Amino acid sequence: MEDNMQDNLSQSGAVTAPPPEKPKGKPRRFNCPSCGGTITLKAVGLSVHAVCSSCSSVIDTTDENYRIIEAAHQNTQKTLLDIGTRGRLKGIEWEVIGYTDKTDGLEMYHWDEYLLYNPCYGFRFLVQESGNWNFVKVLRRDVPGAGVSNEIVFEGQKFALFLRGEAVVQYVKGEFYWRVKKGERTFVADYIAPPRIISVEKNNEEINISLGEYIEPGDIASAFAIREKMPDKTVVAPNQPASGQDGYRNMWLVAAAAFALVLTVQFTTMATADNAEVYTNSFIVRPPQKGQTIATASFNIPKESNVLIQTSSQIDNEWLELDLSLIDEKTDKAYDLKQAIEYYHGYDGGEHWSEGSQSAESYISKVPAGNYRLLVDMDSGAFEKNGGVLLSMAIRRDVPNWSNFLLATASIFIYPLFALFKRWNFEKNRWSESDYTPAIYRINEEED
Amino acid sequence: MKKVNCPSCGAEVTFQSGISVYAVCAYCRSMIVRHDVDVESIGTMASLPEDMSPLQIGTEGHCQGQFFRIIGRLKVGWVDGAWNEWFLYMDDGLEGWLAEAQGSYAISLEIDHRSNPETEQALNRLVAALEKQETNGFLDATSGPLLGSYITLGTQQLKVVDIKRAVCLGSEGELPFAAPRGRQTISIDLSGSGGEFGCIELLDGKPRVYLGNYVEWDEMGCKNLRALEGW
Repeated sequence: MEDNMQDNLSQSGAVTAPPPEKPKGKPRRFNCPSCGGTITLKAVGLSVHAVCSSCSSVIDTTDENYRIIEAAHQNTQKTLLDIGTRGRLKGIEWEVIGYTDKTDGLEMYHWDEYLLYNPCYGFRFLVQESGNWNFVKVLRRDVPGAGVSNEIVFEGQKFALFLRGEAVVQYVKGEFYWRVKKGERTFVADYIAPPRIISVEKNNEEINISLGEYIEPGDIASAFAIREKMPDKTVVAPNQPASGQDGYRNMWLVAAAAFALVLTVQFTTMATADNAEVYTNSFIVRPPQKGQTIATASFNIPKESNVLIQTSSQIDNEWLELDLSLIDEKTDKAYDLKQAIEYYHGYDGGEHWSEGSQSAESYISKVPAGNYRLLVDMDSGAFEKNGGVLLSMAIRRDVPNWSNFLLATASIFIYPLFALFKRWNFEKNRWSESDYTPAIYRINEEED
Repeated sequence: MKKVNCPSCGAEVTFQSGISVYAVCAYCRSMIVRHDVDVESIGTMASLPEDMSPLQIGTEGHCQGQFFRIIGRLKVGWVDGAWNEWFLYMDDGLEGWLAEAQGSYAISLEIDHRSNPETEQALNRLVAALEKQETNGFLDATSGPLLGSYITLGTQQLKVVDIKRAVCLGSEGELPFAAPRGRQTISIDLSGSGGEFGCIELLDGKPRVYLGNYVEWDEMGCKNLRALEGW
């Protein structure tokens, strides 16, 4: 090599040999200054602190002599994801290079923060709390109001304040691109717009803003080939998406489309219905005719349609019962129905009251075209009292009817409304862990 | 493009960019400064601290539709670590910088702050505040009243997110200024709400201003990457 270069140089200074090759990037191995164990640094040039896996001493890797920041002789904590584990998330391979165990200021809540590294894509975090996981990336941008406001806007989306609190570092292992310190406290504020969460971490020296996305435990388990059981989900995570988010939206879209269709059908039917009177009459029924069947004159229904039978009687504090039978004169097919008219009123304790009404109506949903008669059997308490009963009757065909419409509408919306309630309940559970619960999810708290 | 012979070893040294005045000889590590008519060696560059950067001199990529090639690097250290400033030669002859720090990337161009009086005023205020802060001993704690304040550069309002004392740990390839080890600057990082990136570098109280954007790795579509063991 030396000789070659000399030769090249002697030829009028024109060098053709390629310059000496630069070393390729590789992990750096060194010995722990405290216990002598081997430490392998993965994010060379980026990591500034490494924790010895044998003795847990914290070492400054920017220092040529690997200065010990904190000598410690303790066993390493076992974690679900080991340092050095690799996994592929969203198409990118990540290596677990660091782990931090954190708690809130009162040490009531614990969470795991794994630091992931890829030489091209940099760093991410996997955060696990109460069985819920977030995939987190540091945001390199100014988010106005972060940590201060109750609502912040990021990428045009509103994020609502969920909690403010403290985070305390309880335990560390692996390597870090910042100076880690056990017992270090940072102010934390979380903002949510499920499935995303923005976390603001602040100490005296800096503000860090990161964006997390909810990730299913099963996705973590398969990405990192975790054989152990994943921690159970014990609460609704702040940014956990309601299950079946797309299905839920689609369900409402389908319901709205179905309702639009039903509405169209209803209005079309109403606009085009004949709504024609085919028979009308009034009879006075005397006591001697009690128990006899009265037959109306024959009337024609020109095309298949529904039939409405309306009856009324000026009874007063009395009852009237009708057995009606619509007879197709050609086939003798009978459509039977009963009607009852009851009307009572009075004056009690200084108040007028009344109940029932003096009329009744019934639909027969569909009869074929043809000639029909109506047979009427009547009984009433008014026979004896009044010596006779006046009964008025009208028969209409092809009458616009709301009942099918109401039935259809109810069946369209019953499940979406049930789902809406379930969702509200889910949101109420989500916000039950927060001090900033929106009013519509606060119902139970007021009872407490 | 201009070719010269290394005054130390005679090897050919290429200046691809018209604004490059300094290069490190790839053969003998001589630091070469280009003058109008001749070149001068100002010493030898020690080898750069190792890292796992996937980038290297010769790496090519894109930024907002513009092709770039990495032609030089500045390795910068500060009290809590180190980062790379890659010097870019771009399609239209512009020179840019690709900052690679803590696993994130930002591409910026130097702007002429003297042409805008308001920017110039804002910078003067910042430098004055910084000098005051420095005498109060705040700077090394990367805190103080300036952190979190806003500065308007051109049309952009940017937040001061980081102020640190930086020292050159080494350089390679070609650069628009001489960058021997130990060159000291104050580096002020700025960020905007739309992912904008800015950096003010103070060398002996004189600012250079760079504006650009944070970029994602995939956006750059980099080719000719460095080999990394295990990846």
